[in-house]
Amino acid sequence: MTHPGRRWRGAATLALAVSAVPAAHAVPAFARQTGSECAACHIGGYGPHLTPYGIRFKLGGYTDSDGKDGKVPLSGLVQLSRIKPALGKATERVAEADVYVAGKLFTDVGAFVKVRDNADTISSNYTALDAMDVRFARESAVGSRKLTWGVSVNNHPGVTDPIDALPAWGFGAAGPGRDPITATPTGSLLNNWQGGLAHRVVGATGYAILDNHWYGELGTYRSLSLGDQHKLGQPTMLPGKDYGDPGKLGGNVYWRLAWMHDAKTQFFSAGLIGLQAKLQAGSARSGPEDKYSDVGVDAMYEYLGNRDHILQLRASYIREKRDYGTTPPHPFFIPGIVSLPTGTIRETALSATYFYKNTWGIFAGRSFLKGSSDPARFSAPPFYGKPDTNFTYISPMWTVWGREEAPGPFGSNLRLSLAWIRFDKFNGSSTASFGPGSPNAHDLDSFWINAQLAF
Amino acid sequence: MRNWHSEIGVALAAAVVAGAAHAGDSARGADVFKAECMECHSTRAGHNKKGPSLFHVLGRPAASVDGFDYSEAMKKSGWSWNEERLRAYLSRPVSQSNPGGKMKYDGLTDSKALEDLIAYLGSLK
Repeated sequence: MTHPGRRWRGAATLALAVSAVPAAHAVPAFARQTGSECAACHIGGYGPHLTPYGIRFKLGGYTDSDGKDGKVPLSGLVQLSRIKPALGKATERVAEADVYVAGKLFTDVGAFVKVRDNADTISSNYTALDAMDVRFARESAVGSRKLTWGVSVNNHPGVTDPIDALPAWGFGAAGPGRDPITATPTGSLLNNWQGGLAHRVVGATGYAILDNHWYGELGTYRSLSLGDQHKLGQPTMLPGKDYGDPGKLGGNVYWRLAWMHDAKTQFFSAGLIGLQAKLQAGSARSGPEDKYSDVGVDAMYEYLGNRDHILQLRASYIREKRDYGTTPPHPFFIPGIVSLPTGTIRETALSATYFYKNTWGIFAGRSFLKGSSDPARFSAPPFYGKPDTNFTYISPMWTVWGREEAPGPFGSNLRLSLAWIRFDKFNGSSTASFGPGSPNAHDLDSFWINAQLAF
Repeated sequence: MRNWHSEIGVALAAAVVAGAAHAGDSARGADVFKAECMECHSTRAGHNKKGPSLFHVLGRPAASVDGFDYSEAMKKSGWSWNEERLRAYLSRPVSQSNPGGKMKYDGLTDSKALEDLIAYLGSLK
């Protein structure tokens, strides 16, 4: 069995589709609030990837507007999908339906809160609080230097980050793991795959950006109780059981440092991210603590030009060092197999996005997860002892609206896309990834045809 | 005896040089507009975004677009958007060229790009 509280549930659900669509974060409420079209803030005229203008909008606390009253900070999204897994029949369904509270709430206070009804796998249909970022932000100055600063209450370390190269918003959100009930990699605490902190915690971070170049953020989180997680819709595997809860956070600190430069026709960023945390795993939430230290580096480049051709390149690498206070026995008692006192997870994500006239584009991403061997902790059959998982994600897209010359009704937006997700390794192996005679990693592949309407 | 023919010639030449120095390329200016201005401004008549429509901006009084919520600083400026005023306004951070204004812009220091942009703005009619 993998580390308690961060378990893998495989055989019963592996054949089902993993969510393979970029996190759908088109929020027309923002467009109606600012009077600007979606393409002003988003590459490709649709979320989530941000232009420098979109980055500034987020840094400003989602409160920028055209000065007119009467704006309602609400949006919705519906995604219709035809999903063809490598194993099994194709299905057509409403894969996702979201409600957003998004925009200016009060003077200097804005929000991005997403409630997601998730139905992207046959076995999973639940409604839960997804990303939450409620912030106070203000512009001031340090001498002659511009300073934007703020405080956010949020539920996922990294969700506040303005540069979408991190797992909370970047490629990780586009790949598997959107649904913790499916077979998903066991990643770092910063990722939104199973066992991570995403949406299972609440915390506060303070941030500031100086001269629109130097960004820093610092914060801390506390775990939601199991009861609160359930009230907020986090899925459970069985009645009375909890699935996906990473455990109880002890002392922890989240930090972020980044440099960015908006050269109008190009954008550059580079940064560091870290999360140091203690965790009591399991539903008992007591006993020895495991210590986690996540440190990552990321970079992003955007060619914007005159917006006819836009290219975004992103890379991130996160290394998680674990010092275990727990020593779980091997669940199948294989003599000589003992849990190790330390472990390491390494996550690398590379992606490229290209759009022509913010209309037709393509996303290509590659994710590598590699972990140190620990047969006692990564011990679900077939006992490879590693969580190593690699996949490729490719998605051509057509944004039908979202531009000034092609506005949707009442600011709505429509994106049509295809998506291929292809695993070449899962659970430490490319073959028989779930035990002798079980499907191979490629058998987790899926092909999607999607229509997303944001309104 | 003064050679007034020469003096007129010099003056005309100076005017031509001055004009050439300020002449911009409207087509290139459209690209400058897309990179520098388009996020907040539309070129369509009557379409205000975070900033007012720039349709027919050249020659119109400042703070004169219907339906747009201008800052008090812009309302009281008394400006008219001629080329010289646009040049002075856009070449520096707005915090310097119009203290108290709402526009968030750090200025366009590339003089050639600025001339192209002004040429493009002048074509919006």
